[in-house]
Amino acid sequence: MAEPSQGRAGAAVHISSLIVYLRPEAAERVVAAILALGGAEIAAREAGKLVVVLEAEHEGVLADHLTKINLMPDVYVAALVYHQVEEAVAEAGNECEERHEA
Amino acid sequence: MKLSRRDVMKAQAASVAATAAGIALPAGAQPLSGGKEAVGIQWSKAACRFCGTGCSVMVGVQQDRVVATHGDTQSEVNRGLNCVKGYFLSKIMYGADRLTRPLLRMRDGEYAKDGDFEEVSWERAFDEMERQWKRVLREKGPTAVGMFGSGQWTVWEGYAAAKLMKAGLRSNNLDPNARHCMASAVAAFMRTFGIDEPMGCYDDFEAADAFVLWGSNMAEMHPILWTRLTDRRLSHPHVRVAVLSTFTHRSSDLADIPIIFTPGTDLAIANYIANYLIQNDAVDHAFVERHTGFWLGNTDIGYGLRPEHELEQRAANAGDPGGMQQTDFETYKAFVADYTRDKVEALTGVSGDRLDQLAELYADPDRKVMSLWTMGFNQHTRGVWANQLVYNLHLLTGKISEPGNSPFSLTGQPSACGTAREVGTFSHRLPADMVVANPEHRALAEKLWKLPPGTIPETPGYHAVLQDRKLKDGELNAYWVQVNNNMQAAPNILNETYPGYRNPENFIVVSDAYPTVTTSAADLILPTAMWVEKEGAYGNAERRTQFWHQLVSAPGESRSDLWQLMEFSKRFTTDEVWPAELLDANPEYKGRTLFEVLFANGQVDAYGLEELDPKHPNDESHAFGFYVQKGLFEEYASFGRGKAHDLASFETYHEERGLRWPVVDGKETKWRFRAGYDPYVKAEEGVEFYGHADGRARIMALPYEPPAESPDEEYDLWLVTGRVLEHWHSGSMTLRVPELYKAFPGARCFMHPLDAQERGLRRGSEIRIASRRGEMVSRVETRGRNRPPRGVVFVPWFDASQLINKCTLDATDPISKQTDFKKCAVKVLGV
Repeated sequence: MAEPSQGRAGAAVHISSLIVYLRPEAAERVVAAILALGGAEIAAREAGKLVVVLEAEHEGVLADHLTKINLMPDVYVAALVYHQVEEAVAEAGNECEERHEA
Repeated sequence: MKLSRRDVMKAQAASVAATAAGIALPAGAQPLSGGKEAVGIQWSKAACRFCGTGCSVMVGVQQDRVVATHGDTQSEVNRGLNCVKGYFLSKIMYGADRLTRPLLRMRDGEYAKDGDFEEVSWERAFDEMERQWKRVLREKGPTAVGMFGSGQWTVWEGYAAAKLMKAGLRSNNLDPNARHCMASAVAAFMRTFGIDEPMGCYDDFEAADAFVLWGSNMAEMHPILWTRLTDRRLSHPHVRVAVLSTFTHRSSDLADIPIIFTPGTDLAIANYIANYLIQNDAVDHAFVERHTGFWLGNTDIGYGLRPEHELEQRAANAGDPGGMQQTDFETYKAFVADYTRDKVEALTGVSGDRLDQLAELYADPDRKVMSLWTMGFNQHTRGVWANQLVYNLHLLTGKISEPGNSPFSLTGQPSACGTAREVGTFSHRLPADMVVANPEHRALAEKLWKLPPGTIPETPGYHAVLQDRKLKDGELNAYWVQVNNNMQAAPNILNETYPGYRNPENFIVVSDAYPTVTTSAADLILPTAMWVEKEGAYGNAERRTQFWHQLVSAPGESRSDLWQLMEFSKRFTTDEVWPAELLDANPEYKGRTLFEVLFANGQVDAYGLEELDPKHPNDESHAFGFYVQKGLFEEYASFGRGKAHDLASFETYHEERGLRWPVVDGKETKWRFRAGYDPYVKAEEGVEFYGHADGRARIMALPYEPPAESPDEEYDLWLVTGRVLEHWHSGSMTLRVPELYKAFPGARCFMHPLDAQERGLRRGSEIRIASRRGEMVSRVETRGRNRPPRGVVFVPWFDASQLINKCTLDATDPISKQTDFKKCAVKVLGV
């Protein structure tokens, strides 16, 4: 984990994971709303819980997404678990678009 | 399958989160090697700098700078999780406007109250402070010097402050901002149980069958505990959640029983439930007879305003608000019988069916209940009563001191318990729940501090609100504020706080890491080292004591509060500050500095630098030549060992993720007062509330009484103040984090759309919020996370450009002296 990026767009990749607790009956709608944020994947799910992995070029975007998820209807709470920044990964990551399904 | 570096990072992120959530990952996303350990960052544990939850975080340091933090997976409190504030902990120390040099108001090279701030050396800063303190002591004596501290002090900082003020300068005018936060909880613990702090712990979250939030918005204020509660509710369908509040908020979303009540009427709801329990034969009579006693508290106790205020003049018991007398079950039964369904429905605005659903949670013998509250109860002109009325429910049903049955007072600040309460920084207190008014307590403190009898003054000092009044009145003249922003936090600031700071008779010193509203009102600003720039200890809401090492250097010339307190103590000799008769009777103390008698006393300086962990810096210890934190901690711990406040050894806490006191024979205590969990209770007793001499907890008859100010024709809305998820208290740290600032940049006035419409306003309209005391400009918010009912507005107080405390009233609970920030009358007008 390197020092947080100072807004050098495109130079860094921020990866973060969250746990989202939600109303189980509303799961499909919440999942769709999270995926619509861009850069979000659902890594695992169980009744009432999601593990979401977020990717962004700046951690401000991650914070923004976290706030948005926290305030979504039917979401009870979203908590951050993990965050990693890599300055040099951006290009390396691009060569592998068809990555495994997490 | 070929994995890119990015895939590895994502798999690592998913794996850590899934582990924390207790979810099995699909096979394609198992943990992979090459994670965060691979990048050459030095990781150490620390307690989070923000709320009272006490999350443990891992702090990553590279080249003397904190570069990353993440939730500590080994922590029992947060299990690897972090809220958004915790997520940005790594940035709170690096705001561009960090204070790095002392600043003194000067003109023509001299201190001037109306001068401009100029950078000075520490030597020059302390010279002026010394001159002012000695002037005031000479002219008026020790009651004219004072200090305002915080539940954000580390344990040893609060302890050193208590020693310096109460024993060194012989003034009890020391109070923490925890007075604004926890004082009602403390007084209720002392009145009910005779010993402070919750009997239960966070393990109750996984054992309870029902959760009742009394005014708390845990989803925003204690988000990590809220994840535990939410997890319990979602994974165990029988669990019920009741959320009581004066407006709808994020926590309401999870509520099976949502209740919106008229401000202040929570007292009537609690008494209704007590009545319900008795009427429906839900009282555990065996428990009640063996372990409790019934008491009648004084009523009509006033509102903690200035004594000449008409509300105080009118109150029958303003002079003895804490008075009580013993009574019996029948009297108590008759007392609560007054709280009928019809009457309470009318008073609270809550339907009888909802009230019964709530009461049934407590009545059902097969349902374990955890009650939770924070500022909604504590910041209440009857806050002590509110706390006690909930203890009554748990005591009547015997639902207490065992897993899942837990009345739980949450805390607002990271060390409101560990520092403000436990080391005795309140104006009436000494370490380990002792008080200055008790001669035996003073004698014990003097003995443990190796000071002569009679050193500690017996009269309680000025509490927070009284300090502001005495500054204004010119009776408190030399004043030191550390670790808080009271010019933004205090009530009725234009009339009762600001005038005292700028009173020409007064010299005001403010220690802080960043410029705040309070530093701008000071005469001298001292730059302070914060969080992991010093070795620290915090104690959280579940009695858990946690330590961290100094991990990085403080910027510029900033120094920790501990260094400031100890270094300043060198400026005084006993001859200058102690009365002649005290020194004549104890000549061996003559001519010594306060540093020598308080800190170089053979105890605090008992541990040498060779005991320091060589992997970590420790600026204070190197400055003074001994292991300062260890010496202070061990001397402090001697107050509580053997007295149900036992702490483990200093080294233990550097290894563990915290332990819950009492720690006896190396074992922490999860539930107090019950045999099998609490080593202080004998097996044959089963349950013993040993804080009181008779071993009984007190069920107290206390009525509903109205707030100090309610809406009327002109000021027609209730004003409720509070916080939001992204910003902590006055925002002096969180507003320096661009991401948090962006998430919630400015305070808004949350109001009902029809209340807005009726005033010709709409969402986004610029408005004036005015009370009888002051006004501020804000904007209307009719949507979003907080949705007040008609007649109520909610305004967060984090925004220094919108000081809502210009509007609030300095009414306090007369017992706890804690301000009611939740109830006053305002009007809202378009601009």
